Amino acid sequence: MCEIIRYTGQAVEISKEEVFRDLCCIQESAAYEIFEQEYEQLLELVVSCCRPAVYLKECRFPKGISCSSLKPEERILCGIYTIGREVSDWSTRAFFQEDYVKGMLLDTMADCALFSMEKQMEPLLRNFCRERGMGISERCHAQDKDTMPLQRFIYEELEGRKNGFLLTAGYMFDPVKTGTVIFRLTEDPRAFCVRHTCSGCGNTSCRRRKTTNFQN
Amino acid sequence: MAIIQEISKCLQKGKVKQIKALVQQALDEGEDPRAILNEGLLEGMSVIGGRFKREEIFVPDVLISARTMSMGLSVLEPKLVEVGNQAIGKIVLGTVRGDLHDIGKNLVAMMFKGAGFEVIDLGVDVEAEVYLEKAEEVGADIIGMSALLSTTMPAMKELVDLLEEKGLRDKYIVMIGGAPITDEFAKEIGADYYTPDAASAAEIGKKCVLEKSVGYV
Repeated sequence: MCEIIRYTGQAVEISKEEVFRDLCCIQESAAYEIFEQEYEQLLELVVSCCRPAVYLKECRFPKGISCSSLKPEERILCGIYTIGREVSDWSTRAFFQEDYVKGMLLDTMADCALFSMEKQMEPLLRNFCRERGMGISERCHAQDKDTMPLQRFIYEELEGRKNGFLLTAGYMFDPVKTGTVIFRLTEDPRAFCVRHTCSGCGNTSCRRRKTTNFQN
Repeated sequence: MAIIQEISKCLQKGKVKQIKALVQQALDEGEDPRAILNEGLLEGMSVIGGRFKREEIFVPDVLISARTMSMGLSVLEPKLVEVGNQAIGKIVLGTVRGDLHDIGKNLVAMMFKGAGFEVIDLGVDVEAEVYLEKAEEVGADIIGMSALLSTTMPAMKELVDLLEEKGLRDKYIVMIGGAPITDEFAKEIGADYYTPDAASAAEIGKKCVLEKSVGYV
């Protein structure tokens, strides 16, 4: 039985450009200056409130779920990454206090911090592969109907509850700012295909999507 | 009257720093607090909602106007209480069971406040029974449900069924929204309205409540 590896303390990155793009906050807008001031005030605190953690485990792909072209029993590496719940809670409080600008900024900055963890995970993944003399041949994407069972599989494999996560009745992770990944492992130690590709992802309404193509 | 229009314009421009002083000035000049609210602040938010729907402005502009309104209201509210001003209606809203997304729901709450509603926000992961219990407790006009996941959409039907079961279906206007929701789905589960954005939700909610109140007269 493979063990769960836990990494913490990754440095999250928040890109102002990405945050403002996600918010549709353009420089010509009267709102820009206010958002910019608020952003500068929040940045350091948001970064310090993130609690980044990554959980990885090598395991076998289960039967009965579709994910890319993975076959049952194939060797995979599954992972959960999170920035914790503090920034989301802060955002919720800000909305309740009718500080809408802060609430929205906090949530968008939290998204940005979470996505930045994908980059932060790369050295961990390289390390994981090096130690085992393996490579990663593909970052896998769930087929639409199988996204939820896959979430449960990852949650259970990585002992989500024990590690401070909850999976709701709607298969949503708590903390909300949490992501999951599955990689196909290969014997080829040179392979390292870990990046997300929008064309392979079925979430066609994603605001960060970079292509209109979807190759199922 | 000019100052009330100035308040509306100030709110539309999101001038947070000026709004408090303007509302105070209007009160000092003897303007009716209800007129300041309805023709100044709410009118300003209505214009902003319309511009947002027409995609002339984006979410950040709406957020700033909403924050400006909140500031203005903080000065006005004690006076509104004194004159016994009532909200135009009450909405109980939340994100359905199993779903923890709250940004969409928060924006809807913001727009309903901006339309003059009393908003009772139940948060996220709300059970059907909790919506109903709160709606009964506060005498809500509208129950609003949000869902961002296709897996949590069925929870919306649970509330509609519960209302039917309790014989309360006609008592409430049921509104639903969220990324995977469609008009067809609203019809399928027996909800009254689906709206694609927060501004439309508040606009339709207001129209329904006003029609309902006229109907009762």
